[in-house]
Amino acid sequence: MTDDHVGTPVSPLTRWGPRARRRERVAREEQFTAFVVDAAPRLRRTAYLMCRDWHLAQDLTQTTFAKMYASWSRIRRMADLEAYSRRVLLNAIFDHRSRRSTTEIVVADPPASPRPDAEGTAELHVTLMNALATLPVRDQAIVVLRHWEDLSVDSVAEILGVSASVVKMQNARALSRLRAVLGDDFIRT
Amino acid sequence: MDEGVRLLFKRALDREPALPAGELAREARVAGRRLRRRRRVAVGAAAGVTALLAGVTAVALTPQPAGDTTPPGDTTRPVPQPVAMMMADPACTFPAHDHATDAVIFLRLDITDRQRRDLDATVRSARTVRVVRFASAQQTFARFKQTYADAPAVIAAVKVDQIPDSFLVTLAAPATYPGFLAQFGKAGGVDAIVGYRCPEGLSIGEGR
Repeated sequence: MTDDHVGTPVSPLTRWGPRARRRERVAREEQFTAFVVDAAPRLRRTAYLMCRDWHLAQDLTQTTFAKMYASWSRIRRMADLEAYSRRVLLNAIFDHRSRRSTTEIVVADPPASPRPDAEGTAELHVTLMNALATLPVRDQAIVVLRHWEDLSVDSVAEILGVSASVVKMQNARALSRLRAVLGDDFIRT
Repeated sequence: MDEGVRLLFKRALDREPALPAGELAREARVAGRRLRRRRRVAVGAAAGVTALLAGVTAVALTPQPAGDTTPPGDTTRPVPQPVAMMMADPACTFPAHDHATDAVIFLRLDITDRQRRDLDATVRSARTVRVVRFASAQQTFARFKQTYADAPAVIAAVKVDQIPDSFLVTLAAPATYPGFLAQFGKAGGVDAIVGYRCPEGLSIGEGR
């Protein structure tokens, strides 16, 4: 029975042997690394647009990957890992916000630019980011997912756990508030 | 899509720092293993997995005397992390104290048939509830074995009769959670309630 000693050509049983398990583990790890390399820039940018802090954005991205790694053997064969990772990230962002708002009395975002309007169109993106920060967090998510990630209304609805009509309504409301700050030229609906 | 906003977002991302993806993957592994270990340690801890799971509320980690006198369910008593965690998809966060979209009602091990029938009827007809699914101890145990498949010692230490039955509930709306808690938190036969915030498509009550 045990003639599968070192040096023999592959016995049929090695498929279930320790070497096969090691191969399987290596494959699993490689897939995870490839996923991180592929998804990290996208997730970090989305996080940055919502929190305006690259360091925090990276932390939230790492939290997302850590949670996914903890369940990797179970989730790695999912059809849409990308959508899944976005959900985990958004939940991490919402969590961070709600924790922050319960520990801090006033959340005063420091203005990224002293007088946005005086800087002209070159700094319009700063104005947008400042205006975005004044919206409710879920509205921010809708704007970023719709207009940066380019996701459909249905995908956004799924990520946020609301209906498509809510996404449409809140998106319109958010855009009109942004339009009020930025001017009509920059946001058409 | 709106090119104006997209363009401005692109500009806002201009000063993106370099991304150390390899390092990120490494750190995620370390943190992820810690998460997994915490699951396992929490399960295997103290007077043994058994005490922990026997009545999810064995917070003191001491074996519960038979016919114990713990008061009926009260949501301030935490449910052991590993049990609470495996009830929902990892994308759900818990315990959610406000804006919970879903909840699990853990039943007492010594629940009477009558209490169970009453509870079943009231949960199913509650206005705060959208969908409800009963999870038998056997089903939860099967899930437990699947979740902790990488920790055979943990599985070996747990018997199905130490796992409580539960109701897996998707709420009508997140705003209804306080009402839901008020109605069921102290109902007879209820051990504990844990709230979850889940993205759509991962509702606990609708199954997986």
